[in-house]
Amino acid sequence: MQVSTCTCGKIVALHREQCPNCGKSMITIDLGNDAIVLTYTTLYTVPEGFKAPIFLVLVELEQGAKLLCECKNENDLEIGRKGKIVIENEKYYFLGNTK
Amino acid sequence: MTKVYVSGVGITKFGKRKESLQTLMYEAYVHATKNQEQEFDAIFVGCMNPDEFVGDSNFATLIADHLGLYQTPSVRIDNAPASGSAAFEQAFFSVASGHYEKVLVLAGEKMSIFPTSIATRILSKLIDKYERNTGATMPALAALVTRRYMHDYNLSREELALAAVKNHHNGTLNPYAQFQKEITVEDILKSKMIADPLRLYDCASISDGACAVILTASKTDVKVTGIGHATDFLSLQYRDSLTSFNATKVAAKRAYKRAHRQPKDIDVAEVHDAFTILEIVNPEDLGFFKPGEGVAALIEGKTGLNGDKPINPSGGLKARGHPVGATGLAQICEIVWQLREEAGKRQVPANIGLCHNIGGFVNNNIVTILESC
Ligand SMILES: [Zn+2]
Repeated sequence: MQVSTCTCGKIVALHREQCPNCGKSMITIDLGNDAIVLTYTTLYTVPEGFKAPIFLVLVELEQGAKLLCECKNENDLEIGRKGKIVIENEKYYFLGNTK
Repeated sequence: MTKVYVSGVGITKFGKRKESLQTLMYEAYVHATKNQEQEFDAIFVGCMNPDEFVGDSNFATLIADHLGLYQTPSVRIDNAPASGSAAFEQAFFSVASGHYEKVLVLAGEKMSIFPTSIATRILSKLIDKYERNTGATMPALAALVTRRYMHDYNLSREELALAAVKNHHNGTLNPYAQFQKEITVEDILKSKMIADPLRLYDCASISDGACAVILTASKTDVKVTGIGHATDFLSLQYRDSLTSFNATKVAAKRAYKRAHRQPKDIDVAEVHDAFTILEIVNPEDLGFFKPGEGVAALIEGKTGLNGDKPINPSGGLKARGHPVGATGLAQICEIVWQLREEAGKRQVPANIGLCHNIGGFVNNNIVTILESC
């Protein structure tokens, strides 16, 4: 899982050139795929080109960066649920650990 | 710095309107000028996206032409759903600087031409591209915030609905509101699910409407005493808090400092309740209540018309309707009416009022303080 870090302390998910907090160059590092659900929604009214429903989660990654992504299973929609980020066709998904 | 005062204000009825956007702006303009011929040093037009919603660009010229204000400088301000307050802000600067003496602020949007799915797609462009590509919409991001707030502060689904019940009640007293009908908690909980836990009646509507405000260096009975403006990260995933919005906190702090006021001095406020959760979070971020206490304030009626901190007497975005570019200026109109005791059945006692307008998903916010004088 790629995250970008800055000397100012800001850490954000994925690759990013300039820090959104201070404008300095960020350094992109690889971390593990562990994630924990901070909040979630099931989206029923989706934009054109998407299929309803969409399970969306906002998760916390290692070192505190956050990522918005789809959730594979409806059963994993729970605040505090632990799991991993998996990448399929260049898209990120949250998958809960086996209970 | 020159002191800046509000002269005339005008608004159209919001809702699904047959007229063109320029016709709606003309209607608001006629109200604000009381149909008296006037000259303006400049026109500031707040409108988020006429290119896509009505198929016109160069809209500032179109409006000057349509109003017959030949040769008057005219500029369009797009600041997402905070376009109305941003146009007001720029107009304020132009008078405060001494460059102009009297200017016209117009704001409006016409959104109802297309079906909701297309309007939703246009509005989703406000969201960061990565987040948008997950399928996230504005209601989806609001739902993520709602879910976390419910978890952290034990807010129940029924309590959340009270925000819409209150604003629809206020809307029944506002002849310009899109919805002038009471709704119940049950109505809300039965409405279509959009983004769990948010239902249709938790979300502000697609709407058409326009407003006009005249700003002047000549003394009137309402003075603009402070404007504060702040941005936040475009992405929700970059932000530290999911239950509070820094752009509101910082904009409010800047406005209070300019006006030499504190949250406790504010008699009445119009806040950007595009979703029910915002009716609870915004007053907390504006410093009216502590984090988590916005719910109790709502339930106990503190933010109702008879409370000590009336919020959204107009019905807010929820009941007045939310033609995105118009909303910020509609809030200004309401506060001016409240300060002038011209708010009819929804009148509250007020000498100092505040407007809070949100651009994007709570990342470009403007707070304006107006006072009787
Ligand atoms: Zn930085």
